[in-house]
Amino acid sequence: MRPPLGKAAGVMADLIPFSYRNNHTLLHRYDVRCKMLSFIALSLTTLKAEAFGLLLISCIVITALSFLKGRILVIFYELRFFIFFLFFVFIIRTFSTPGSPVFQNPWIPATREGIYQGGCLFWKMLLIALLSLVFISTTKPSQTKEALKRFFRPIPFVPEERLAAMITLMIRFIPLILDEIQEIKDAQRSRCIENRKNPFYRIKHLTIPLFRGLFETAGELAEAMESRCFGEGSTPMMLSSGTIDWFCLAMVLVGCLLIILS
Amino acid sequence: MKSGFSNPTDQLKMTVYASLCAALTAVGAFVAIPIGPVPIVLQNFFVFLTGLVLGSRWGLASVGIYLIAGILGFPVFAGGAGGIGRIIGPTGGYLIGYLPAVFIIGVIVEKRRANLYLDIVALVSGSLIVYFFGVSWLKIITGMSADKAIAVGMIPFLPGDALKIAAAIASARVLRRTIGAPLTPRPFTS
Repeated sequence: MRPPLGKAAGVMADLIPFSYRNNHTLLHRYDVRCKMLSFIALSLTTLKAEAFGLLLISCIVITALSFLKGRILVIFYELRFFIFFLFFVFIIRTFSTPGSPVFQNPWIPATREGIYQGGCLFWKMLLIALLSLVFISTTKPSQTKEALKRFFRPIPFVPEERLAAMITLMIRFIPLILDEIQEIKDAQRSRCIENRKNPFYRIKHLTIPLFRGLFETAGELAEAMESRCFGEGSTPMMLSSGTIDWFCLAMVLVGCLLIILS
Repeated sequence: MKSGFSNPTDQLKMTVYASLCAALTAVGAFVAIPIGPVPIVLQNFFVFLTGLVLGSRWGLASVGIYLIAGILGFPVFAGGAGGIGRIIGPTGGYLIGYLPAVFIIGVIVEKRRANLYLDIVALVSGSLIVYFFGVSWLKIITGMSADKAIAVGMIPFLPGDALKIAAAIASARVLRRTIGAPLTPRPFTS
């Protein structure tokens, strides 16, 4: 029997390290709309910033990371592949940007300009990734969904309710899929699938039941939603913002403007 | 045939299917094998499958939802990360390329359903669109020459793509029977 969506969602935090962690820090209490705007502004400013601006944004990111007690090492561990890609970009930039050579040896065509440009790009991308992670770790998905709904509401021809419902369904489906994969794998193992040498045979007998089961579950879910009169006029979630939230947002926006203009 | 999804029941069903496809794309991205600046992921396999099964408009809606969720910071991009940094990062072009790719795949297969040759043409076209966007962006971000960008951002993935295309066509045949529904032209009509 398949686990209910709610139960499976509980397992999600164990499977995905980048997920919301309940706490009562300042960042957790910061209004989600202001937080989203602040993080978007900081991300865009990071792209435009030079070395001094990046240093200031790094201080903000380090302060934000300090709210995630005990998770910093986990974050860097999970970002290892991303850091590897950034390092690759850095190497390419170092060797492909024209400028004054660092070494006399013509076999190592690294340039000072290349190191600077590559280093800045590495730094910017890492800061943006860290900002995203801080946002994910301190914001409930339901709050993000509600904020998204409100941001999309003024845009004509965008059905914000359906958009938000689809994102919620998508996030709910992820643990269900991971659970289903595990269930089918266990079932296959109990039938000694390991004895089969052909990898295509094994993949076929994993994917076909998986897809069929998932789409049948999705069909059942749609029927259940319909039978419960699912509509797009549900009661919206309450979001509360105080003066301090708007003050923080204003501070961030002014800071970003100053960094861009400097 | 195209008006088959005008009633609310079918609209709801397709909404759920599109969300499921977006979730499958996200799960496909969790398994990332780094072999250079661009990792091997199963994302494009699920994008192919989405286009084949859901068609152009719902496919576009599904991939659009996936990208919006990722940009907002949900951990749905390669390696279980999210955020606008991924779109701006070295692999951002591939992610953006999924949108036109799924739409074109859907448009081609809607011409005649369950036709093997049309499915192959659709998926090859989709792959080329993804590479066009992905390699172009990789070239801009890394400052590599076009030849180098193609060498690291496209050539190593072609054998894997051939396998993904074959698997997507086989899976779509099963799923079309499971869903048992025609393609719909309008995902967001009230």
